[in-house]
Amino acid sequence: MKKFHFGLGPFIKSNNKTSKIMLNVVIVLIPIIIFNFYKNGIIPYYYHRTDLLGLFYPLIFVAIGVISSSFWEFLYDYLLLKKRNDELKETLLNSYIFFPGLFLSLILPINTPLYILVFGCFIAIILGKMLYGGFGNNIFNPALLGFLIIMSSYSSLISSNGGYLNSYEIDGVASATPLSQITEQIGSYETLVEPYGNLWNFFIGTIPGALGETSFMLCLLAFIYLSFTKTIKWKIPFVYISTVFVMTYFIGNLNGLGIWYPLFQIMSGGLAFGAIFMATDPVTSPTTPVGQILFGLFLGILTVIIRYLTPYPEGVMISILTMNMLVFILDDIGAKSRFNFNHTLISFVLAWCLILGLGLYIGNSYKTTDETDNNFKVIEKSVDNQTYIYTVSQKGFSSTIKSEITIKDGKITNIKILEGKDSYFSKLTDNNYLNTLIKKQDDIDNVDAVSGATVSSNAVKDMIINTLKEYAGDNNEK
Amino acid sequence: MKGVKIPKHKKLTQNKKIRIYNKPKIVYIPLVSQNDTNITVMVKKDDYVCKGDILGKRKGSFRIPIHASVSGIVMGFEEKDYMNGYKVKCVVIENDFKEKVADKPNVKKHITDYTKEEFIEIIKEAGIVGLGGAAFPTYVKYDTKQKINTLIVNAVECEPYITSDYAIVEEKCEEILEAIDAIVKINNINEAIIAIKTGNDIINVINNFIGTYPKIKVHLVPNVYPMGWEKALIKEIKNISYDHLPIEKGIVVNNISTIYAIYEALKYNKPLIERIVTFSGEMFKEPQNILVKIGTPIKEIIESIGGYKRYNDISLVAGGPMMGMTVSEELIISNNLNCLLALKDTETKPPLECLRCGKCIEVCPAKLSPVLIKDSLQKYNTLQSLEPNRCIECGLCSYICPAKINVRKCVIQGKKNLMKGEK
Amino acid sequence: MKMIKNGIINENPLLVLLLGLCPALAVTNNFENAYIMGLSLLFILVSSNIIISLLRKTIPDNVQIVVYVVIISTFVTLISLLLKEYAPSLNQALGIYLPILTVNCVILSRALAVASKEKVSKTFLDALGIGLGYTFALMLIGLIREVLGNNTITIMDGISSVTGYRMIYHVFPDNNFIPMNFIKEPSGAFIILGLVIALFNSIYKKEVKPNESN
Repeated sequence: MKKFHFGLGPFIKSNNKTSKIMLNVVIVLIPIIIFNFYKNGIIPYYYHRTDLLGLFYPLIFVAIGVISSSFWEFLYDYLLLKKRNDELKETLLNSYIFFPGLFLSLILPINTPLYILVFGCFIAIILGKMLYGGFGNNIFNPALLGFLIIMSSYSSLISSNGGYLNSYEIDGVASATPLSQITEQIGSYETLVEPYGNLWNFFIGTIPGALGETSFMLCLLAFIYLSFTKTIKWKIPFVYISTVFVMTYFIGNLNGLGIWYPLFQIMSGGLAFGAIFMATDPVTSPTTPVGQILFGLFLGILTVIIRYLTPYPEGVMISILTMNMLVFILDDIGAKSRFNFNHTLISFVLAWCLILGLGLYIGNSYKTTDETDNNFKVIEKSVDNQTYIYTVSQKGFSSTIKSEITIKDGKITNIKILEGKDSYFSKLTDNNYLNTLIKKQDDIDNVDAVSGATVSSNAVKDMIINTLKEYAGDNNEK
Repeated sequence: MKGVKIPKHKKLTQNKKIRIYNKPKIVYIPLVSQNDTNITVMVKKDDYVCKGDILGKRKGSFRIPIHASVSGIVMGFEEKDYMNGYKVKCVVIENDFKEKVADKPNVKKHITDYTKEEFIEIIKEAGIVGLGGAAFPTYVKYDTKQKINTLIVNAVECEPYITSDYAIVEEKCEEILEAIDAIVKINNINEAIIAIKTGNDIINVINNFIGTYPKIKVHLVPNVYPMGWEKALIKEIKNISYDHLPIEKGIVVNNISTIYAIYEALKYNKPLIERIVTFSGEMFKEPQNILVKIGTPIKEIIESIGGYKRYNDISLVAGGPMMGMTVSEELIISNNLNCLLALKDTETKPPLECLRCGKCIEVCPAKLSPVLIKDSLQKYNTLQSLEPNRCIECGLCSYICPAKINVRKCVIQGKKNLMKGEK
Repeated sequence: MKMIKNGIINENPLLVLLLGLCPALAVTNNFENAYIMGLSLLFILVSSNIIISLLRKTIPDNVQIVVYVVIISTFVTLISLLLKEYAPSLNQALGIYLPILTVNCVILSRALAVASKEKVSKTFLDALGIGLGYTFALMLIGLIREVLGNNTITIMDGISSVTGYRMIYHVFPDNNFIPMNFIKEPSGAFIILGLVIALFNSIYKKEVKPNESN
C-alpha cells in the first residue's frame, strides 16, 4: 500500500543533534579531569603525602557530582513529572542532566565534603533547573546557582577543611589562591606571581585552585576544538577574555606594570574555565550574535569591577549570574539590530565608556606618591638600663604603622602599636598576632601572615626585623 | 549572505537526455495564476479548442492568459489537486492527439527586430511566467519606464535534486544565448550576466558558444544554499541591496528556463504550454528530467518512467526538498512545478526542547531571528518588531536545528498571526 | 468554623494572599520570635477589627483610614508596652517590626474589606481565622529557618521571665551538623518563603481550568 503524508518541508535535515553537542563538551572536559587527577591525586601520592583514597579522590569527586545530579533529575522526572519509558529515556539522554553536577564538581574546592557536593547538586538541579520548567526554560546557570548557595552557606566549613589546597600544597603558600591578595594593593610580580613559580605555571596549571579552573592551556585547547566544531557560542568567551585583558592592561600600565599583569589576570581566578564552559551554557546565554557580543563585554566589565572594587576575590560567578538575568534585554537588542544597527549603538557606546572609564579610574586609585623603598624609619630611640625603646614607623598597606618596640637583652619584650590606619588592622590585634611574633622572634621569617591582612602583617614583621637590625647596629657600635 | 552547504543529490538526474512525455489522454488545465483563482473563463463545455488557445484570462492588474496545452474537446470543469495544497478548478480537455494549432500572425525572421512594446505584448500573450517556481508574470518585469542596466540570468538552481535548468542549458544553449542577446538589444540593456554555481560543468557548455556575444558574461557564485534567492544573487554579483523589487536599482532577474520559453514565444509565437520537470528521488526506478505538457496528471508520467521501487514508505514531494510540500498522486502538472520527488519516508521522532543554541539565527539569509519569533507567537508587539514578513521560507532554520524543531513552520505561523493581529 | 478554616487554608494571608511579607522575612530566624509576632498580630487584628466593626456606621468614608490607623495603633502600643516590660530581649529582637504592625497590610486590608462592612460576630471569626493562619505560616517558616540555620528550636527564651521556663532544643547532634549560613540571611529567607508558598499552593489550591487554548 502506498502511503502519502501531508506536511510542509524541509525534508532533509542536517546531522546536528543535541546529544552530539553534549558529547563534544564531555570530550573536551576529559583532559582537564585527567590533568587534575595528576595534579591533585598522583603527585601527592608520589610524594607520600596521602593514601590510596587520596590518590583517587579527584576522580571520585567528579563521579559523585555526575551521579548525584543525574539521580536528582531522574527522581524529579520519575516522581513529580511522572514520565515513563520512552519519554523518560529521551529526557535523560538529551537534556544536559549531568552537566550541572559535572561543572559543580570542577569548580568547587577539592576539600568540600561529599555530602555538601550532593546537596549542591540537589539545589542546582531542583532549584536551578526543574522548578523553572525543566531544560530549556531556566534563567540562571544551574551549576553556578548551586555554587553560590554552597559558598555562601558553608564557606567557613570548606576553608577549615583545607579549601582549594590539596595535601601537596598545604604548606606551600599562606593565602589560598593568587587573586585573594589583589584587593589590598595592586601587587607586583613578586607578590602575585613569584610565590607560585612563574607565568608558565599559571599557563599549564600547577597552581592552587579548584579542579577545573587552573589550567589555562587546556581551556584554550578546549576553546579551539569547540569553536571549530561549532558546539559553543564562541563569541562570548572571546569577547569576555579580551575585555578583561584590555581593562587590566590599562590598570597595569597606569601603575607601571608590564604585559605580565593582564596575562596573570586572565590566567587566574578560573576566568578561562568560567568564560568557556559556564558563560556559554546554551540555555542561559543570548541567541543573537550582537546579543552575545554585548554579553561578553558586560561580563568583562562586571568581573573587573568585582575583582578590584569589592572584597570578593573572584568575580566570575557573580558576573555570570547577574548577566543571566539580563539576557532577555540583550536578545531584544540583538534581534532588532539585525535590520537596523542603530538600535545597538547606545549599548555599545555605554560598554566602551565603562571599559575606558573604569580602567582609568581603577588604575589611578592605586597610585601612591610615596617611594617604595625607604619604608622604615626610626623616629625616636631611648635607652634606659640596657632596655631600648624604639619608636619606629613602617609603611603598611595604605598608611604607615607607628609603634613602640621595647628590646631588652637582645630580645623584644613588648610591641605597642601607636598608630595604624590599615583597613584590616583589627585582625592583627584580635588574633594575638603580636604575641606570636614576640614568641617566635628568632624564627620570624617563618611566621605565617594573618589571612586577609597579608601586607599589613608582613609590614609588622619587616618592622620588627628592621628594628632588630637597628638594635644590632647600635650594639655593635658600643 | 553566508549560506549553508547542503547535500546536492544532483547525480541522480544529471547528464541524462531529457525524456519527452507528450501524449496525455486527458489534461486538466488549472485556472489559477500565482495562487489567484480570479480567472475569467473564455470557453464552455463541448467547445473545440486548438493547442495554444486561450482558455481564460486573469482578472486584476496582471492580465495573464491561460492556454490549452493540447487540442481537443472541453469535457467540462473539475476540481483537482494543485501545488499549494488546495484543490482548484480546472478545464478538462480530452486530447484528440492531432496537435492542431490555430493560425497565428507572422513572426519576424530575426527575433532582435521586435520593438519593446511588441516584445512585451508577445510575452504577455504567450502567458510566460517565471519557471523557477514563483510563477511571477514575466512581462511585468520588463514593462517599466526605468532604464534596465543589467539582466541577470539565474542558472544557479541551489535546491537539491533539481536539474531541470541544467538539462535545458545542455541541450538548448545556443537558443538561450540568442534569446538573451535579443532581450538585451530590444530593451537596451547594458549587460547580461549568467549566474552559475562553482563546480558545475555547465560552464564548459556555455563557454563553447558565448564568444560571439560580447555583452553576455558568466559569473560564478559560491555553491551554497540559498544562492538562487534574488536578493542574495544580486548582492553577490553586483553588491547592491534593494528594498522591494530589483527594478528599483535597474536590475532584472530571470530564470534560465524562462529565457528559453521567451525564445520559443519570440521565434515561433508558441505560448507556455509545456515545461521540463525533474522527477527524482531515491524511490523512483528511473529518475530523470521529463518535458511534459501542462495539465498532465502525474500518475501517468510516473507509470511511464517505471514507477516506484517499493510501494510503502514513500513521501511524494513537490517543489524541492527544502521548500516544497507533500502532495498526493492526484496532482497535475502546473507551470510552477519544477520538481517532483519520491523520498524515503523517515520516521519522525517528536522534537526535543529548544536548546537556544542560536544556529537558526546564524544561518537565516533574511537576517531574521526564528527562535525569538517562535517564542513570541502570541505577543503582537514583539512579533511586529521581529518582522516575520521578511521570511523567504527557505527552510534553513529547520534544517540546521539540533533539536529537530520545525522552526520554519513557526515563522510561517508568525506571519499569519501578524496578519490576523493587524485586523 | 468555616470562616476560620477559610482564613487558615484558602485565604492564608502569607501563603496565598501574599500579604505581610515584611515581618515574615525579618523576624522568622527564630521560632519564638515568629510565633510571638504571629500572636501579637492575632491580638491586634481581633481587637481592632471588633472595635472598627462596632463603629462602622459612624465613621465617615473620607477619614476611614486615618481612624483605623488610630485604633490599630492603640493596640500596637498596648502590646509594645507589655513586651517592653515583661520581655525586653524579645522586644529588642522584634525590633522595629512590631511598631510597623500599625500599617501592616493584613490588618488594614481586613479592616477595609471585612470589618467596615460586616457584623461583629462575622468580623471576629474572620479576624481569628486570618490571624491564626498568619501565625501558623510564620511558625512554619520560622521552624524551617531555625532548624536548618541554627540547629535549635527555641520555644520559650525571651519570655522566660514571665513563664519561668527556658526551652531550647538542639535538633541534631552538634558535632555532625553544620548550620547553613545562607538561610539566616534575608535572601535565604526569601527562597524558603518561595518554596513554602509553592508547596502550600500545590497542595491546597483548587485547579483553575484554562479557558483559552495556547
